[in-house]
Order: sequence, then C-alpha cells, then structure tokens
Amino acid sequence: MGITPETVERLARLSCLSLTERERENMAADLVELVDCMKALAALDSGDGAATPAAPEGLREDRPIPSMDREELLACAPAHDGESYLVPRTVG
Amino acid sequence: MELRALTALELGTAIRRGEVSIPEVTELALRRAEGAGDNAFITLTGEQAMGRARGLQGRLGEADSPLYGVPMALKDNLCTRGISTTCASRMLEEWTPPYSAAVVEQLADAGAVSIGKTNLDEFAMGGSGETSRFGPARNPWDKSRTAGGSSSGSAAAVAGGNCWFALGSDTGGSVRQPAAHCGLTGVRPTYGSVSRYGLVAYASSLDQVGPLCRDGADCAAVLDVIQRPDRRDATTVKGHYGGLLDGLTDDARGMRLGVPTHWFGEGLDAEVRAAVLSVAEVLKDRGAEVVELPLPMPGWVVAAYYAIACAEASSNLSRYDGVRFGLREEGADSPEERSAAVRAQGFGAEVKRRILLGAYVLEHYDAYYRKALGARESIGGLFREAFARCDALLTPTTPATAPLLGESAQGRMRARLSDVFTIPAALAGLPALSMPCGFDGRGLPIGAQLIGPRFGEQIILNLAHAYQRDTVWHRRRPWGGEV
Repeated sequence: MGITPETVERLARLSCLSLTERERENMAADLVELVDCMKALAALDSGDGAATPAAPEGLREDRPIPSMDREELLACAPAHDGESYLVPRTVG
Repeated sequence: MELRALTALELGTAIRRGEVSIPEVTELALRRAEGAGDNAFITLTGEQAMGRARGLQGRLGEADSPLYGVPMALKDNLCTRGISTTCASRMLEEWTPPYSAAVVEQLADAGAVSIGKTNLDEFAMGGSGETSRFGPARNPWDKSRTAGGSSSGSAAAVAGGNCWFALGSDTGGSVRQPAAHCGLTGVRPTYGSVSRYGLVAYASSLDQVGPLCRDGADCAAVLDVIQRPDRRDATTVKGHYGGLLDGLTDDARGMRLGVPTHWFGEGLDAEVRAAVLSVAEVLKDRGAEVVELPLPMPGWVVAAYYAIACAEASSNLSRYDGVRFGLREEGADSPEERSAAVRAQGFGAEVKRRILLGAYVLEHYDAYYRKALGARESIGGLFREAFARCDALLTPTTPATAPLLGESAQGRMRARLSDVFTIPAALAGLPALSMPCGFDGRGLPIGAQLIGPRFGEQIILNLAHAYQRDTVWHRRRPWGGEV
C-alpha cells in the first residue's frame, strides 16, 4: 500500500479537495509516516468484526415543534434573496 | 483580595457576599484579556459581557448557582448565537451561528458571564494551538511555549488570569493536555454525559466538552451545570447527574488508587515521572490504598485513535462545501471544482492531512477502520479489568512539559505520539482529569491524570480534591507567588 502523490490525488478527489503539486508531494510524505504508524493496527486480528457504537437510548418524539427563525437562518447564508438561500448552479 | 488569583467558586462567594460586583470583575477580566499578549482569545465580547454583567448584578438576589456572575470563556468551536464561531479556520472566519450550544445555554442559565471565544487548533485538530488560523495561544508560564491544544486559548485564558474558568473540548486529550501544560485542572467527562449539540464536530464518537479550571472543586461545579441528557443529542445518556460539588470529599480512606507501572517506563521525562508518582504518596497519606498493576497499553492505541478520529473527521468536514454556509468561492466551472476550491482555500494543512488520512482509512475499511473499532472495544475491556482492582488510575497526562512554539511542527509524528497517555481514556469513553502535581526545572507545570470508570466523575474529583487539600501546585500563578 505505497503512498504516492498519485494516491494523494485520488484521496483528494474523494475528499473534494484541490491540492497543488507541492501539497500533493508533502501530503504523500506525511501520509507515509501516518500509515506506517497504523501498520500495527492492520496486523490485528479483527475478531468477529467491528463493534458498533451503542444505539441511542431513545429517539425523541416525532412531533412538529417550532423551528429556527427564518431571518436568522438567512443571515447565515453566503447569499440569499430574502426568502431562500442562493446556491451555485448544480444542474443544467 | 487579589481577584484574578481566586478560584471560580471563591469569586462566586465574594460576589454573593457583595465584596465585589459582577460588572467590576467582568471589566477586570476584559481588561486583562485585551492586554495579556497571549493570543488566548479570537473574539472578545466586551459589550455583551458588560450588559449581561449589569443585568445579573440587578438580579443577584435570585442567584442559585455558585457560578453566578463568574466571568468565563468558551472555546471557539462552541456555537454562540449571534457571536462569531470560527473554529480558528478560514472556512468559518465570517460565520455567525443562529443558535447556541447546549453547554453555552446551560452556563448562561447558571448565571456565568462569557467574555469571549478562545483560540484553538483549527477544528480542534492539533495538540499545540499552532494550527490556528489566528496564530497560537501562548503559555502564560512561558510565552515562548505552547499552551497545549487543541483547547489552547481556554487554558491560556484561565491560567493567565483572564477569566475564572473556561470550556474546552476533548477528543483525544484536548482539555487534559493543555490543562497539564498550563497548571490547571481539566476534566474530560464520561462520553455521553455532556451534550454535543452545538459543538462543531471533529470526531463524533470521541468529542466531549469539558471544563478547564483552577481546581477540582471548580470542575465539579461546572460539571454539575453541563452534565445532563439532551434530546437534541441522541448520544447523551439518561441518568442521575449533578451533586458532584456537594458530594466532594477530601477523605480518601478506602479508595484504591491504581498505578499502571507500564505507563511510567521509557519515553517519560524523569521530572514528570517523579512528580506524578509523588501524587500516590500524598493520597496514601490521606488514606488511599495504592495498587500497582501492569495495564500495558497495546502499541496500536495511537493508531486506533487516529484511524477512528480521522475517518469521522473526513465525514464530518464534508459539510463544508461552500454551499450552505462558510467560505464560498465563485468562478469555478462545476460544483465539484467549486467545492474543491473552497475546501482548498478554507482548510489549513493539518485539517487537510486528517481528511486525507480519514479517506485512506475508509478506503481500506477492513484493514484499518473495522480493526480500529474492534481495538477500541478491547481497550475498554482492559480498563474494565483494571477497575476490578482499583477505583481510579493515576498516570502522567503528558510525557513532557510544554514544548517550545515551533517544536511540534518539526517533529509532527513525535507530537502525535505524545498523546499516548490521554488517548486510551478517550477511546474507552471514560472520565479523566488532569491536575497540576509539580513544576519542572524550567518552572513549567506538570500534570497528573486520574482516570475513572464510566460515570466515575465523583471518584476522580474526590481524589483530586483530597490531593489539592494537601498541595499547593494548583494555587501557583504565572505572575508569581501562591495564593
């Protein structure tokens, strides 16, 4: 499982990160060190598989309650038209 | 009365007795925070704090919390409605949340006064404060050194006398390690006992909010306020909470203090070893029984932490896509390019590194992530076996005292491995406390860690309280003298 700048490029695409060539090289060196540390983990016997986190103790009741203030939520938007968030075009 | 040297509870008492007013101490805190030169704060909320202080002073007769009127600070990954919450990242530099975190609401209900948002490693990823977009917080004991991380600013603010307690967050040690480096008492609570609603997520199965204070009694008071179930966080556990302060005792008779001998071996600074082991002697004099046990920690503990934490971070930070909030970049040709550009601009190098490692771990799901989850279970089993023989464990918090600024970047892997004492309790979801137990030859604080069984906060707080009755390390202040 060698880590190369090409590996980093693939991981960056999966992670939706745009990296410069220098960043790819530096990250490759860093990841080699980190993955080397994790070799001890890879050597473990995983037994009967991953333990799953404890299930929530109980979900809250499914009933409508007041939500947040529209104006306050719109204030968080990078752009809005007074009613809705304006987002970059994703289709067409 | 030197106000800045008091504990939070001592100040709360002085306020209720009318010896000092809330506006007076709030103004003092703000003045000190502005002039401290330690970069502890990202945002100071002077106007809001003074307005709140005046309002609280007018209702002093209604005060029913020992923290009423006490100025405090909040790590800047805790959402505060109407107040900037940056996570020390360019990604959220201009973001103001429309709601407050559960713990923020709870402390407000208790009458505490927030004076601002403290500095941290970006998105809580780091152990020195140096990945912050705004530069690192500096250690009040020696400003050429780190205050630790990721709750660097919270630790620096309390240790430097800028406020009387602070909230931080602890994923792999980020409350306890800065507490150790800054001479404070800090607690990572049992996972599930404090709501994460409004805590900006790093690793959801590990993150916990915790207090950084001058002593164990202050920590007990803060935990009484913030430990409770919350319908908005399904990982919180129903149960009986509160009463930690009332239940505090300095009587250690009958308590079994486990000393895991394998944790005091090679790689631990000699002065740290001596100071931490001396804690056992003090508690023995208070009636505790000291039990030596091996408890060797497997060599993959740090690896298991980074596998789980980075995998979860990779998932959690995918929400920062430049669409709904945060930094936005215009001009790219496609939505994918736009998001990639935003994330490239918005995140620092360490955050990118952890996102990529998380993606790698998840790409090799069986080899790393699945095994890390199993490893986590076995760590829990090791602790359960230990707690059959003792009530709490005494360990170092860190292998050495606070490093120089810049040192961690030069030895990044070594810096990660320095989390070796704090990671196991985090993986197992156990409560753990760090308290000052001495100073090294350079005058830097040394921290001792107490780890308890699940929901064993009273046990570790009682041991800390007993220790702090007979020692003065927690009463020393960077500006000199003891209180």
